[in-house]
Amino acid sequence: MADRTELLQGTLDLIVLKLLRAGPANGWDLTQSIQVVSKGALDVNYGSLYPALRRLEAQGWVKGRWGTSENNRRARFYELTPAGLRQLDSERQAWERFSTALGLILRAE
Amino acid sequence: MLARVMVRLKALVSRRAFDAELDEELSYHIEREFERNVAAGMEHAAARDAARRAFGNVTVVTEQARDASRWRRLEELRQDVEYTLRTFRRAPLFVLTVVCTIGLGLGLLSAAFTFFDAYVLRPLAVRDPYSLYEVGWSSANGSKHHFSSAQLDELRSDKTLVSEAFGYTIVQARLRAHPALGQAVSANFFSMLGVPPAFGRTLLSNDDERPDVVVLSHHAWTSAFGTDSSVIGLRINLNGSAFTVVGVAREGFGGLTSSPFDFWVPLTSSAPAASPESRFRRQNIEGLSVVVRLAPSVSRDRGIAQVLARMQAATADLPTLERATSVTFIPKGTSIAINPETIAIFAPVVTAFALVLLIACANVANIMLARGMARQREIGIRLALGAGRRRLIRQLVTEAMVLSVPAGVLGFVVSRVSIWVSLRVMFSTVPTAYAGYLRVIPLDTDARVLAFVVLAAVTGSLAFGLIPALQATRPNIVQASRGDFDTQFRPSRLRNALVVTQVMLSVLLLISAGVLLSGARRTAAVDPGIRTENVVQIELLRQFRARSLDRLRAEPTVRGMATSSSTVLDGRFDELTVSPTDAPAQRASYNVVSPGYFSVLGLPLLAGRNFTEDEARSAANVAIVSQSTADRLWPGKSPIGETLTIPATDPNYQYLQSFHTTRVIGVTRDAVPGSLNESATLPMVYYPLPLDASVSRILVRVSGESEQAVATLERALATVDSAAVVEMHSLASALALQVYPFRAMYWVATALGAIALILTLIGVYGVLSYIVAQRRREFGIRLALGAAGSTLVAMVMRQSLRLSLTGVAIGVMLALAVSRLFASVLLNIHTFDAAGYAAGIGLVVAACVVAAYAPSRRAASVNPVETLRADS
Repeated sequence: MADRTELLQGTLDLIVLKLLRAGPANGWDLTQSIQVVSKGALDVNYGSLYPALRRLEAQGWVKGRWGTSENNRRARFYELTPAGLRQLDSERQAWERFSTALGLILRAE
Repeated sequence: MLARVMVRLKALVSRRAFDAELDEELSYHIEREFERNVAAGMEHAAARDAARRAFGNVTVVTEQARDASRWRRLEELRQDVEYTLRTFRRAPLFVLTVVCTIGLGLGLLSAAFTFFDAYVLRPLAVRDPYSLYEVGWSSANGSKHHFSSAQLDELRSDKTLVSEAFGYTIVQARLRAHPALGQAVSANFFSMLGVPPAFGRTLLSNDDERPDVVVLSHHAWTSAFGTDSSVIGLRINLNGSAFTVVGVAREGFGGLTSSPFDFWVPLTSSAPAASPESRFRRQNIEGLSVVVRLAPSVSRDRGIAQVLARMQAATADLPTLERATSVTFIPKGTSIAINPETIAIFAPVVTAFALVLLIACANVANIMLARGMARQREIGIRLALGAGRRRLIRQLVTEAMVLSVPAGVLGFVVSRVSIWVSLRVMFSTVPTAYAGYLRVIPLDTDARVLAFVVLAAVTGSLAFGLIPALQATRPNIVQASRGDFDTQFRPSRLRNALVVTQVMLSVLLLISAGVLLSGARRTAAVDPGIRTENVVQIELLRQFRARSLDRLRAEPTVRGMATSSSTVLDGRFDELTVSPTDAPAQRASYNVVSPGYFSVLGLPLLAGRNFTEDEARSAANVAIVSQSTADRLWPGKSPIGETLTIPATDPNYQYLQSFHTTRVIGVTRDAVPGSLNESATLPMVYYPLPLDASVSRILVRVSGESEQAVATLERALATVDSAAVVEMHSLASALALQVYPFRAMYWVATALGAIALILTLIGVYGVLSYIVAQRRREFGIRLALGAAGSTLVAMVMRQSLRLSLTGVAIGVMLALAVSRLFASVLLNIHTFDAAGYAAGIGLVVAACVVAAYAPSRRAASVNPVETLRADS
């Protein structure tokens, strides 16, 4: 547990958008994916995922609808909209520029 | 389907549904977590705890999700509206004032818009109205022409140009003693327009062979036949001939013009129905108006070009002046076509009404501003407690929006009432002889009018809500929460600007009213040069003419009779070309009259002599000209004995052949026998005609009051035949009708000016009362230091006058521009109308003084001891 990293402010939205790019998923699926993909390194507060999803929905980047989960229960699935896809691209570029710049600064002697 | 939509809508706005969904979503997550824990081998209780712990605080998450969702704004809006309603319940008088003020202004503007919409914007309820055009052509000499039926048939046969076309003439008749106007139309009229009957049938193509059928308008059926459904098959008398009623047209249909028609007969029946004076009036024998439906691929410009080419070919043999030079296509999609002239006429009217709404809005903005000041402490506290300025502005704008709902409803009611009242007033003030012909197209409320009302209400409330909101939320928190905002908060400039605007607009409206009133007076005072008192004009049906004349001769009130080929005071007379020997040809109005014409109309012969009875009977080659004609054609010499020729190429030549070459035997005074808007000095030529000629129009000079004489003569002629009279009116009422538009404009302008003045009075009163209340302490100190009460009165009065004079100055400048616009359109309107300006300025300044008086007295009656103690 000690080497888990706190999530940076505002990055949860980017993560959600990225994960939804693979296809529609419900909230619980997303938390599992975050665990699996980050190999358990990220400390995501599950609760904060849901406000984030609602926020993205209000922006029109994702769309939520009720569906049936793999264990045959009613669950709310989220899906990336075209606007969400564009948002993901621009946010990813911004993030890459930022992390490159940060890396340069931190590596500078 | 609808039910499902409703469920979904409800889910959208309902907070409970939102929470339930979120709840379900969150419990699904916890459930899965729990299942995973169980699968990992935990005990049930521990697995549940772990799942909850991993998730965090459900309540907090719910709150956060709710805030993040898009429904939060709706939720806030609901709160704002609830809060607003609570506030309003505490201030009913405020709400009432605002709603009434805005409702009044909005209602008047909406009424004006309803007229504009009904006449100019609403497409006529006929098939594909926008492809319909009324065609007209003009010749090089400027006269406008109609079409012959042969020309119509030829035009119709070209299917590449027009897909359909009909011709019509206007028929005047009495429908069961009700004055009525109808159209004689081509048999394809109804099928081309796609207008079905309400019942019975409309005209069919074979009605051309069986022309004694008539289709009634729904309005005529209601008013003249009392919605009697057994009307079908009834034989009715139209201008002395029997017609069979075959149907009633769909409700609301009245043809394609701005004045709806009462009946339709086939064009082939127009001979008995139309005026029989066609021998002298070219328009009536073959003068067809033509409406075409352009073929789908043909543009308006191409249509004009092709018809022009046709008419040029058809008139190529005529002399240059008579050849077709231009063709007009008037769109018939709406009652009145939208073109620059229509907009030029409607724009000032709608602007005037919009100004009243603007004044009302300024008043309300002032009230809101005063309220904003009064609520300064509340707003200050809310700001201090951390409310965002945007949130507060939104709250204040919401208040304005909530007010706009009842204001809009009231405005709608006011617009319907004022339309009803104005129609009533119009019907009761138009000269009685014409009221029977007055028809108004349906002035219904349609989607456009509703959209307009909503838009105007919202725009208005944004204007009066947003500005005060921006002002009121500006102050420094600390000061405001103490209720002390004198240093930072200076709304007085805004309030003064609003009052100046109001005064300015009132001055503008009142001066315009004054200028129009002077114009109406001046038009009424125009001397037409003919006697209009005690003269009655009658149109008789030809077959009863001789017997009617005999009956009139026996009538004691009849002092003299004359006949005239042109209708007196009913618009311009017909024109022709006359060429004197040794001088260039001239255009002149003409009239063919019996010798009695000059004495009946009181036109003295200034030189020479009148026509003799013999000359009249033999259509002798003699003419009488007006003074101006004589001066223009034979300057400096006597016209008596000179020769006048009508060129054979003149379009009226065939009807006036007997007067081809005439000798001038007399000169009469200049007169404006046609329309007051033309100059008396236009050339005018008279030719002789016997009294018993087959011309339908006769003029009767009567003794005694002319309206009474009209009734007497109606009764007398009814003994000849009930259908003997086609139409009868006094010349005085014909004259009144020509002045009527000016009077109507003046009434509207005065009513608007009065309302504007009252609103301004309220506005000035409100602002000064507020200022006095605000400066109570200062006044108290002044009084305590020995200032006289009269000094304080003068101070407040000066403030009022300063505001009003600024407004007056700007208003006068605007009024100068506006009256110049009027003067450029209308004869008899003067730009610098001293009386109009003086009256407008005087009224507004007086109103401002009156409005300032009560507040100024209040300033003087401040009790210094009380105020000083109360405020310490």
